[in-house]
Amino acid sequence: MMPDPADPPSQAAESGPGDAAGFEDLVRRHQRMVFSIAFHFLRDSAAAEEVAQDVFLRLHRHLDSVASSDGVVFWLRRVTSNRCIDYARQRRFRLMSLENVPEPAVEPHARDPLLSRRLRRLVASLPRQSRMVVILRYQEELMPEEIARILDTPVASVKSQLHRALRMLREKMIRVVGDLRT
Amino acid sequence: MRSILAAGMITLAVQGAAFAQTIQIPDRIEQLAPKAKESVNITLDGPLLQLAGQFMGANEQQVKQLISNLKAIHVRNFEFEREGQFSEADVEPLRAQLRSGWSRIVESRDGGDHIEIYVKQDRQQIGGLVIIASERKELSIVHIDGPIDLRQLSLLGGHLGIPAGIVPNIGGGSSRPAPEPRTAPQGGGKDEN
Amino acid sequence: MKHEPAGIDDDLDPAVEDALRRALRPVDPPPGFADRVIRRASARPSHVTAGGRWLARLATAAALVAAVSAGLWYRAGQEERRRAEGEAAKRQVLLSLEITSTRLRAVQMKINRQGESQQ
Repeated sequence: MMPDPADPPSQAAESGPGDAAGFEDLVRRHQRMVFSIAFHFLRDSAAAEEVAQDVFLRLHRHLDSVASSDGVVFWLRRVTSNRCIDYARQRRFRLMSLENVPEPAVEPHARDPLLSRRLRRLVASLPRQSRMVVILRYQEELMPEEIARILDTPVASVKSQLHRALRMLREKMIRVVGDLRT
Repeated sequence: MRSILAAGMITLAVQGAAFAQTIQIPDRIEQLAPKAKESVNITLDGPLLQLAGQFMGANEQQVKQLISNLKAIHVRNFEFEREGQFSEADVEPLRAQLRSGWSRIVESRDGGDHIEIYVKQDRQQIGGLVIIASERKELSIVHIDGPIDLRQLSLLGGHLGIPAGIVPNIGGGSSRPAPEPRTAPQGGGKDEN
Repeated sequence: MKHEPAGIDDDLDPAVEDALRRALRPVDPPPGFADRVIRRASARPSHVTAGGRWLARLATAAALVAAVSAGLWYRAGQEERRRAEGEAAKRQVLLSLEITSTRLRAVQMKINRQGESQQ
């Protein structure tokens, strides 16, 4: 069971902060996930990098208490989610960027890159908690139960937020681009 | 049907040049931000626009050209939790500034939606564009200050979501007729926008 | 693709969900992100535990290394900051034009509909 990141570091006296090579490996392996959650939430590459760096630096401080690779992923998702929500709460004006830096590779069968861009903007307009639920569900492909653990929220709330958010997104998308099935 | 902007350009062609002050976003509009659940606040002056242009990629050169002579871009977009968080009185100080030297070329009301488009003539070209768009829970103000080539804007049609088919008829001289804008689906009632 | 057990997500629109998966596909951080993180992490004092004097010495050494390389980093940082500002300004321009075009398109569509209804 992962310690709460807010708790004081454990007293694993001789384990040290974790070896440098191990930390570097973790950064390179999970940077895409952490940055993407932050970017899709904040829609600002500079802000996303700031949050993502902060998350990894916190990981570096708590590395000696990481129990397993699964624990690291959970920890990163949780801390990234919390940091994003806190960051957004502190910033009244948020810049909703249009472009990713760099652009994700467009699959040959991608139907409408503009649709994706509009959808990302609409996701960014959701209330903070709902926004993170949607990102964890559709970027990370997490089940509501896992999302509930990460956000420390009842499962029923997660499901309710998800349904409301999708309904809202669907209504707005229909107004913008017509039926998504066409 | 003529494009909305073609109609506006013909109107401008018969007017003389008029002096118009730079538009200021009124305090009453800025003060809406704390009440909004979501806000977009963009203020780009000349140097920032130039800087942005330096980072335009190979497929964004038309955008770079479009903004190359602009003095400023201001955007305020507010989304509110409930209706009634703003009123016409908040927008009136902005409209007051647009009564001199600006022409309203479009006004559209549809239920609770209200959109106005103003342009400023600067010699034989458009020297500025203001859009005031309100819905029940959203208010958008766009001010583009400087010579904006709406024909160039139309060339971005299909890119960045800018609709193709908005072609200006600047200066009243001979010009190609505007291509027919795409029409909405028959009987659908859904907004392609 | 994860499939929900029957009954839990009957209301969800598969088209919206698929569109969201495409739109929220993970993206790479800016080039050099990992290096910047590792550099910052190595410059910070390590967490000192009860028997960790050697950690304090390691932290001091790391700080010295960081100080020596600070000049190079600062110059590189200035260019990075300029790039970040330029990219941010570019995104603001593109967002402005998208908002403008959305509003223009909206009024164009309304006028089209009004014209059709009058015919």
